[in-house]
Amino acid sequence: MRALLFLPLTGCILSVRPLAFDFSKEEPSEALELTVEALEQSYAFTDWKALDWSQVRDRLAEAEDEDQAIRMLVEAIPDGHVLLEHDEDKGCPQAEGASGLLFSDTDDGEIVVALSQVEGVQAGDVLRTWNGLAPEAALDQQPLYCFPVGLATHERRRSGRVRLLGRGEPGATLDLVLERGGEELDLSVTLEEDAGDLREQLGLTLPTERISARMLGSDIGYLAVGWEETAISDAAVRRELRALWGEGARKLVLDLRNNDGGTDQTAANIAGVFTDRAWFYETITMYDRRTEEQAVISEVWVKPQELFWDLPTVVLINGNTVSSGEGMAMMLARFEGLTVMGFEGTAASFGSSGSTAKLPGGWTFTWPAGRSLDEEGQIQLDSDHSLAGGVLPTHRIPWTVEHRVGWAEDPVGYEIELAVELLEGL
Amino acid sequence: MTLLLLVSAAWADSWGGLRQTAEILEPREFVVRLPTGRSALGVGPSTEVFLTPFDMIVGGPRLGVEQAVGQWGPLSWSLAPSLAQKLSLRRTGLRLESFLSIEQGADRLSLVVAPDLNLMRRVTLSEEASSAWSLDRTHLPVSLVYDHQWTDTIVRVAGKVGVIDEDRAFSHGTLSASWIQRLGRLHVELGAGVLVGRPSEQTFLGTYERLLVTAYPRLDLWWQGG
Repeated sequence: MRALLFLPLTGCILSVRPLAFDFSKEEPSEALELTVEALEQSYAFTDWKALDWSQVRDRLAEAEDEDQAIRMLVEAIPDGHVLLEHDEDKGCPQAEGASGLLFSDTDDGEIVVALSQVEGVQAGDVLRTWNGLAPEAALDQQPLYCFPVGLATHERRRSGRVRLLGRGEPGATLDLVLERGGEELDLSVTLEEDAGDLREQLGLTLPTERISARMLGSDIGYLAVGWEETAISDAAVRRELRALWGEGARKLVLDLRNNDGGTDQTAANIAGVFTDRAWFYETITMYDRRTEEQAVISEVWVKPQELFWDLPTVVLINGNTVSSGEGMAMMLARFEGLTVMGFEGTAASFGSSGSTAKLPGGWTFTWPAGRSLDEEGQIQLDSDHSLAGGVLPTHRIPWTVEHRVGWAEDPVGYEIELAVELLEGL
Repeated sequence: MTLLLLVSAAWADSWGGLRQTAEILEPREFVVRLPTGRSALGVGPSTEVFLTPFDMIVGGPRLGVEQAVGQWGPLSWSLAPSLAQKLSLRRTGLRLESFLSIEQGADRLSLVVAPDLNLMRRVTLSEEASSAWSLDRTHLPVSLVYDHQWTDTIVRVAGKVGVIDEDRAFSHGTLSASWIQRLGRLHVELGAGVLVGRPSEQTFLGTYERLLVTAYPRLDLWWQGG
């Protein structure tokens, strides 16, 4: 009987699990329709996000080709667990040209140049027109479908469009009017083929290390969690925290930026290092192909761990903090003595990833099969029909020109510096 | 389907290698089960010591003594206190298993009650470091195991209920049935198991609310002698 406790290593829940379709042998239009039908049947957030699948079909019909139609399906579903991958990392032609300008928006509604490699253009220059369009109208023209990941919130979708202002098809020309100190500057920039990773260029940074740690000065430790899987991750977190404390750390920057998730229990266990009592974390549901409804499969709690880090901590998040990474941030935001800091909220995508459809042309489309519910049984963190959701920073970094430029110049280190300043002031 | 392979040196009349009964090994009789099974050595007419290399919950070895309490005709009763210790010394598990077996010809029914206390030594890192023990988990599983033996075969049906699991009562149960066949030195167990409910144990199991029908391929090297 005891051996039954080993069962999940190889076990399965008969009808409650992610779906896997292979439509790759179908005609592209048929494969796309079958995928939409599968989504209509099993997508975990249709009602929550008030998705109208007939409107989605109408939108896809506007696509210029099959690849664009598949991409537009990603755009149509505001969910960071909706992913599009290609066997050969096929790019998006409408975003593969680079102008050498990185735009960013500010709290006062302006769009400014945050980083420039174009002669005569300076960081802080304000965008007045883009190919003859006012900035807001220009944002509406941006090919958001080039993002291979669903963007779940208004904030994320707007930031994505702002990023795309500096990109386009290679060889195309951007006619810009910028303003600096009351003076207007007209310029034309020809977009050059960008050999870099498109995900990276679009700001969809992926973590490179599971756990990394170092000291920031004499008494502040830094711990980054890139993803969390199995007990190896939470054991590593405890080990690194002990080592940092041994080196003199009495304050901590916990970096969850770009954390792309992992297993829920591991995330709960890592959160458990920062609390001295048990907390409800979530109820997980999954699509049941027998009943065609969501079925409860699991409940997860944050419990005290072998180590309790009871010292001032700033938790860094960004829009790429997704899935169980958001779950950790959600719990840490509730604990005493922790500050969650960032420019923006998390990805608002906390469902259970995993249903897939293979499509013609080497594409694989992924969507969430399950939900995360709070103690009252309500969906938590995933953005709703108003495109609001995720974990919001309790200490939001203002979107000033200074901060936007500082971040663009040092996307990794700038927020860490701000976190250190905050900790030093505590 | 459950597949359990037991590789043994020889078939013995003793049931000690398939522990879940009140049977105590004879003095100097031993069972070695690797990598995860319970190894035991008879050290007296009614006492054996045993070692489990790795307790999954505590994360370290478990060492215990099984002592026969008494035998009344077909009824036998033994108690087995044991201690599991994580090698980092941060988790300890205390368990007292009670085996009550009744044997009638080829049939044997065993009731196993195994209250389990898991303790955790928590280190708090504040301006100063401190540590304190706390109760991590209380668990009271009760199992009923039925075995029927032919010459080369055992049929086993077993059920287990989590009577207490942390702060919940009767939160989960397991039911399994298996066929153990002797093939020379090879023992093969084929069976099926189902889990219902939500045990608090998180290490591998998670907390499933639905029926979980699973497979657990396991290779257990078994040497029994003395």
